[in-house]
Amino acid sequence: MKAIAIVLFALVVLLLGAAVLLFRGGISAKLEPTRFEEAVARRLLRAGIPRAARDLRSPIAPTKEAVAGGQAHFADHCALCHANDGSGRTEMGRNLYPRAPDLRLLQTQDLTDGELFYIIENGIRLTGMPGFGDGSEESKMESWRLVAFVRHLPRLAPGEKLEMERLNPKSPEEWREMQENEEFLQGKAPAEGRTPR
Amino acid sequence: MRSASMLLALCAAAATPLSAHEGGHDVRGTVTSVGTEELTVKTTHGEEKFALTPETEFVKDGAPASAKDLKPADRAVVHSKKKAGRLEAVKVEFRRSATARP
Repeated sequence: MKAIAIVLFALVVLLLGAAVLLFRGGISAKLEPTRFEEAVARRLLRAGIPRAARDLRSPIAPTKEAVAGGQAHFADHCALCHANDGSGRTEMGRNLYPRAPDLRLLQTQDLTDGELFYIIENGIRLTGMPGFGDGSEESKMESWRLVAFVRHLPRLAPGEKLEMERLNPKSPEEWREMQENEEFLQGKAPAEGRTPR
Repeated sequence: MRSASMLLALCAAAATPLSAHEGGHDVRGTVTSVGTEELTVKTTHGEEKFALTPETEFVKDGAPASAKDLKPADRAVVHSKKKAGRLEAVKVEFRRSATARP
């Protein structure tokens, strides 16, 4: 009887704790996740990846070509949230809950290649990270090239970052503005106006 | 039925992409002065001042550069954002003008 009471009490405390965490600030994504939440989420993340996936080894060598392939793909698909340098310092990345992580830091670099691959292919539930895999061999190779690039991020050179900026998706207006900026810099067009961001 | 449609409408609203409203703007102009913390650019609208931060990127002739490479009379495109009531230069692209001092 006493044991049941203790279990019930523990359950109530756990539920209350979870409710406080969940409802502080309502549904707002503006709050900074607490360290406790981050620690729990990180543990759950690793625990949620099947062991077989965790131990997967990349079938491709991290050659210059593989990294370049991952770099182009990252610029086109991932940089919107993660930023070209992986810092997560973008309008999207900074405002997601949880925030887009800095992929250059140990919390990401410490993950195994298999864990990174699994996350890219399957996404992470209740975060902004979608699952990009479609099960095809082509998609898997693309994800492995991304893994190679994520490993390269801490050593990304400024020139590589500039190259990625040229590959980032752009609206027709952004393409036009880029063209006008280039013409201005080359002295072909006079200075004019300002473009709101 | 009505509540189901309302729920659908709510879900659709929640799925609309968000804008973070960072503000700021991009300008094209000629550098009139550049220091370690501030850049002034003359445009057809007058002079505009931008705060330089350690995160500000400099690109000269399409290649990575630094604030030291930027000189008065250079043609520059400044990409900025509003932060704490001031305009911060995020990226400064520039090209050496024929009249700029080396």
